[in-house]
Amino acid sequence: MGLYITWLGLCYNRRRGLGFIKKGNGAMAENQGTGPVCVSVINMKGGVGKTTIAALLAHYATFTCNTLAVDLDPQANLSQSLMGALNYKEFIESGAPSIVEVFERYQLATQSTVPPHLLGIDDAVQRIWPNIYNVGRWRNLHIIPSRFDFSNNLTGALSPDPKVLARFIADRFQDKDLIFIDCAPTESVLTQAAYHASRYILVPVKPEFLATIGFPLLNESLETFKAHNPDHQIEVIGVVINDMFDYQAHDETPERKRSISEIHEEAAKNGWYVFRSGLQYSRGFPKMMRGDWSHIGYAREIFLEFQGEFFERIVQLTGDSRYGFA
Amino acid sequence: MVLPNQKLDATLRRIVDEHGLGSVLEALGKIASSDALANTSPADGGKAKPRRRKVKPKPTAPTYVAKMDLPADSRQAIADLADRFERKDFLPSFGSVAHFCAAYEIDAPASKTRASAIPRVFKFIAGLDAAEIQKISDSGMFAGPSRLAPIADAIRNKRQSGARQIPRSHAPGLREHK
Repeated sequence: MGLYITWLGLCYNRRRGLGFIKKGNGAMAENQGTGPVCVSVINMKGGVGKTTIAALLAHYATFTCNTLAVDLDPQANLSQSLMGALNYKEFIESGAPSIVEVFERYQLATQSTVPPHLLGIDDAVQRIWPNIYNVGRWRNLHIIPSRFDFSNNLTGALSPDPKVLARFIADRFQDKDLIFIDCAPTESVLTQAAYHASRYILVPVKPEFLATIGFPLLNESLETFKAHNPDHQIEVIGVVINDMFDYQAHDETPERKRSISEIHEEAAKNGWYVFRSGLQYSRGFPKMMRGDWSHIGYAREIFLEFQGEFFERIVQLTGDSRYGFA
Repeated sequence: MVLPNQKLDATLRRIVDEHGLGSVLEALGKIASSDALANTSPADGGKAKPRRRKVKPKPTAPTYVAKMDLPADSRQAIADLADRFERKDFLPSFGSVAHFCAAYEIDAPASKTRASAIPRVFKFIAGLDAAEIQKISDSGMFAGPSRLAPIADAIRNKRQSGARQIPRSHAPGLREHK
């Protein structure tokens, strides 16, 4: 494999490993005022790696661009992973605003003297990284975190407005380049909220029996949404196959081959692109999610190879020079 | 077979018998105090022994930071980070150091040891604002592997208390623009 160049300013070569492309070589330019590209990571089937992929996309994208992650899953695994256990614990204990308050559209009263009030410009957002200035601009990673009582709050609400998140993002995050939304596997008002906020859908899938069962459900859900919102441009940016090869077996097993073949067939029926750079199995991925960067093997290189193709695809679809090389 | 120690013992006894213990000890003291002779031995034909190389003390983050000229408002925070680095509570592995360097576009150290990264990591940190240094300190990203127990305990406690306890003004990490 030759030199593989990503828009991130990182390059990866199987023999030479990972490196940075020189600054100014077409990497991120100033935000041209077109606003961020928002991608929701969705599959109606659970356990396919949605949160892992959303977390790593957000994390590595921040190496060169200004990024926001949105945790729309009441399990809050994206928040826990990106914020780290101790920060998330502090966040829970403090009662700081979260995605719950974004949907509630105000900050609940606390037991102290603070009365109910509207969210401020900086509320419900946590900063993950220190601010970094490079390639002529500021970059950072922020997250709208989730909380375990998110689903209880939604259940209690009379009619949650699915456009709330889109408005919140449009109002406050025009300075971002990329926004990643991690969605819960079951269809709900949260899925609708993700659709309203997004331009693209990324579909992770695992090569196993029943892997593609979420495809027709997602397609139907998306088509229904488009029918109700004909002016909203939204499409599947692609299907990424997670755990693509069984390294321990040193080969693709017949079952995996069969499953991968089914994924391609089902994706083709919906007209969905399948990424060439599937995510191969690596024990490094769970370690990275935990914040353990020692001995992660080729996990970083495997992920960046996929991420490179992912952003090439954004460039193809948007033609936005912010995201690619001239 | 006569062992070397037995041979030396026999030789010394003969000399002590001949010159007396006090004279022998005095002579040995003079020999020992003579630098030129102290580095010679009959076994290597009187050649001077190579001088022992001074072993440099292992560089540590706190000693490195102590020598740096730091701004007053961030000196303590950087010193705390250096202490945590030493305890492996901050950038605990070379992998985490490499990740930190990649994230902030610092050249990765050539030698794959944490110690070799101390100058470039702490020079970079020293160049940041005090608030950013505090953010690095607070960020779980650089503190090593997370444990889930604190989260589980926080959720359990929150459910039990059933209400928010801390005023909003004490909430951490509100968004800060540039």
